[in-house]
Amino acid sequence: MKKLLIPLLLVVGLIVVAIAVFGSSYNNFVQLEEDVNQSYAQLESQLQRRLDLIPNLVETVKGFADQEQEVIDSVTEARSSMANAGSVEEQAEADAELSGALSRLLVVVENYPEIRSSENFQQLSDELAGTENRIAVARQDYNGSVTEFNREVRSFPGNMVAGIFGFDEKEYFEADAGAEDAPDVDFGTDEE
Amino acid sequence: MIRRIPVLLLLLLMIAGTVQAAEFPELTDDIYIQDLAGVLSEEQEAEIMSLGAGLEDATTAQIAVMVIDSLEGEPIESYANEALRHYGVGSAEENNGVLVVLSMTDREIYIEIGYGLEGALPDGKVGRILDDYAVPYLREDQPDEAILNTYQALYNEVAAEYEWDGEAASPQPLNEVTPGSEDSEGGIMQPIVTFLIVLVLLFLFTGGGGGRGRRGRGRTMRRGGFFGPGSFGGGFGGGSGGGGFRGGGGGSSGGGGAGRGF
Repeated sequence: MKKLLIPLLLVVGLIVVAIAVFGSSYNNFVQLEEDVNQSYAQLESQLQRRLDLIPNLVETVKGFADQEQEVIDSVTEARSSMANAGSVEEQAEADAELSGALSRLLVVVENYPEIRSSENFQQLSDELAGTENRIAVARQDYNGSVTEFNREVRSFPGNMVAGIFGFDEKEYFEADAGAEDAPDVDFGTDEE
Repeated sequence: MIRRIPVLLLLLLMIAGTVQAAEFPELTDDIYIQDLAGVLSEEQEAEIMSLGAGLEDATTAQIAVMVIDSLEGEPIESYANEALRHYGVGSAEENNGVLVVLSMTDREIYIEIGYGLEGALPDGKVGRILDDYAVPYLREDQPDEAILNTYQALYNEVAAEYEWDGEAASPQPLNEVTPGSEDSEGGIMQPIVTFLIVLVLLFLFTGGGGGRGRRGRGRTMRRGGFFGPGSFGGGFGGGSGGGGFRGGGGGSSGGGGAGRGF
C-alpha cells in the first residue's frame, strides 16, 4: 500500500499544480482578451466619431470651394470605404486612406482664407484634430493590449492553454508600410 | 496562484517601463503648476495653486499646467497624453483631469482633456479658449499671462460643469475672468482700472493741498480693495503646501483636446 501511496500523491499533486497553472493562465487570457476588446471598442468609437464629423466638414468646405470637387470626392470615398471595412486590417487600411484624403483636403483649404477664418470651420477642424489624436491614442492602447495578449498566446504555458481553449493571436491595427506614411493632419492653424 | 504573483509583478514592471518613455520630472509641489521653464512669478504660481486646490476640493477635478523648455522632438499631443496619464491628473473614478502643456522653444501649447471632461470641454471649445486666452498673450511674449488666463478660463468651465459657483473658495478669478470672456482677458478690465486711477488722481489733485500724503493713502486703500483677495488666495495656496503636496488622482485621458502653435 505504502508503495502505491507515494506515486499516487505525486500524481495528484501534479494534477493540482497543472490545474493551478492552467487555470490561472486561462484567467489571465480572459482578462487580457477583455482588455483587447475594451480598447478595440474605444478605437472603434473614435473612428466612428471621425466618420460622423466628415459630412459636416465636407458641407462647410463645399459652401466655400465647390470647385474642389476632386478632393472632396476622395474624402467621401475614403469615408465610405472606412464605413464598410470589416476586419481590423481593412479598417486600418481605410483609416490611413481617410487620414491622407483629409490632410489633402486641409491643404486645399489653406488656399481659402475665408474658410479658415470661419468660426464653424475652426471648430470643426479642432474637433477633427482632436479626434485624429484620440484615434492615435486609442490605436496605441489597442496595439499595446494586443501585444500583451499575443505574447501570452505564444509563451508557455499560455500556448498550451490557448491551444486547448482556442485563443488565437489578435490582429494589430496597422496599415501597410505605404499607407502608414500618410501625412499627419495639420490644420495650419499654427502659423499665420 | 503563487505563480501569478511574479507574472503580475513582471507585467507591472513592463507597464511602468512603457509609461516612463518620455521621462517626466518628479513633482516638487502640488500638481497644479509645474513651471520648469520659469516663466511665472511666485504670485502667479500661488494664484494657480489656490485656484487648483479650491477646484479640486469642491469638484475632485484637477487642472494641471506644465511649462517646459523643449519637447525634444516628441509631438506635443503625445507628450501631453503621456504626461496626463503619468501623473494621473484628475480622479481615477471620473477621469476629470485637464493638462495644459506649454513648450517654450517649440512655441506650441496643447490642452489635453481627461475622458470625464470631454463633454464640458469639447475640442472646439478648447480651441477657442486657446485662441482667446493663450495665443494672443503668447504672441506678445507674455507666457505667464497666457497660462494664468487660460487656467482661469478652464477653471470657469470646469466649475460650471459641476455647477459650483466657486465663491466659497475664491471669488477673485471668476470676477477677473467673466468680464474678459467676451474678448481677450483684460481688454475690458484695463480701461476701467485706468479710468478709476485717473478719477482718483483728479479727485486728489482738485481736492486741495497735501496731495502726496493723501494720494499715497488713497492708493493703498485701492490696492486693498482690488488686490486684497488675490494676495489672500496666494497665502492660502502656500499654506496648503505644508504637509506634503498633492499629486494626481489617477485620472486618464484618450487624446481629446486642442493645440496651437504661436
